[in-house]
Amino acid sequence: MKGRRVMVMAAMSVLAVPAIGLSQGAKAAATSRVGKCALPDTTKAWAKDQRAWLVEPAKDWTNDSLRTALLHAAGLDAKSALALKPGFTLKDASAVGGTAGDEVRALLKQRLATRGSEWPTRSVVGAAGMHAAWMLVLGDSALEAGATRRFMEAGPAESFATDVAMLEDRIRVRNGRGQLYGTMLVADAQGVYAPTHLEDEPHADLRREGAMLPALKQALCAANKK
Amino acid sequence: MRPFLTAVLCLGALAAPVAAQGSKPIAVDLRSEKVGKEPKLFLPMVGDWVVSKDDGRNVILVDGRKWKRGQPAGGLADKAREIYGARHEDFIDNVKAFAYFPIAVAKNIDNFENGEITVKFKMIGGALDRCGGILFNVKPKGDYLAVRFNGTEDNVVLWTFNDGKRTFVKRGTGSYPLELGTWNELKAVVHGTDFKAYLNGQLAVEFALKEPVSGKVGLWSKTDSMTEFEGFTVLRTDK
Repeated sequence: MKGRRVMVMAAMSVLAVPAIGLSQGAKAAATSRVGKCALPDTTKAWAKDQRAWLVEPAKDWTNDSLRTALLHAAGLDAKSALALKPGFTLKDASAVGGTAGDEVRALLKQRLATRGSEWPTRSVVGAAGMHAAWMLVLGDSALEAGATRRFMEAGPAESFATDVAMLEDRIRVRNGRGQLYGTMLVADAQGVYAPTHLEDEPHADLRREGAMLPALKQALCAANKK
Repeated sequence: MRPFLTAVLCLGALAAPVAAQGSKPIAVDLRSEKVGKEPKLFLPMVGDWVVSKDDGRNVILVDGRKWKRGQPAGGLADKAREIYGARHEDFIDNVKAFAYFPIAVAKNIDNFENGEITVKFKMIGGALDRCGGILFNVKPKGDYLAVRFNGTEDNVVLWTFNDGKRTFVKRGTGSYPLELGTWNELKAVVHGTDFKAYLNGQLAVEFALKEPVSGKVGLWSKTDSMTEFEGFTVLRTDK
């Protein structure tokens, strides 16, 4: 990978999100160096909380056309279940969705610029729609900042806390600040992933718990064994 | 009749403390508090407040992880009665309406009118907010003023709460990207209607209040903030 400084999107996802990671050789080296470690336990609270948030039992969103546009642009299958995310993101993630993505991003920017405009949160576009919006804003620095503010304002019932945490870390790292959740990883020369500067590390897991993320150590295990 | 009684009670409260307590700083000493329990020196009226250890010292931790439950702290009625006696029901009626703003009232500090209130705070977590604030001008009906730092906005803002509604008063223009896990000092200075707030010694907010301050003081937080507090000190002055 470019300059061997890569980030991973280690989403345990069936959302047709392409897995971006190390070469097979680098993976093997990383796995070897990391050795035995505990993977995220999907029976624990973080996983239960994520499942509870991501489930879409019925059509309980209000803007179906926006949802459809978001899912299409993000390349998500509306019929596929949303999967659990241990929470990593690519520092250099490029915007997804091609032309369709650009159109939706333009729409989202317009909404950001309009006070009181509807924002694609859960009650508006469903859990998958909100996640699709998150995918589409990644890599567009102007959108990331505005979207994070809107998602945060909407609160945890409307915005997937895991996605919001990952967005906040991205913005902080880009602005030269320490990240809060440890969701942005870089690989060292041996291809082992670790968070860039993490602020107040002793309480990182506590914050991750609030963002429905597994313990950092377990998440790093998943990242390095991926 | 009721406004008259309130006025009489307020006047009574105005007279005593300044003369009685002079200008010696009152520092709330947390050493006698029990770790893992609700603080006794700060009565939690809204939110989850607990005594915690930080680097071997007792601190007050507001834990906003349960904020979604929106319930006032346990025993609210008893605590309100302890502070305001027969008037406690007014407090409860109003405080329920803004349960997303955890407050803990300093128990042994009487009416504050003029002087300085200082507290050290350490932000630990919070997805929506990472707040540390000073509560003052707390009235028996639950109205109050609060000046706070919010780590999700990096600013210091003065708010007023009346009849359960929060109203913006003054936002400081400075941006302070404080690090989580570090101690910072917030100070509120009141002289008559002149209000100033300092963050780590730097003037952050300046405002002319509509009327002089008179009421209880304490700690303030917001929604899911997880913040530690220590070094709460009140210095009263005559004016």
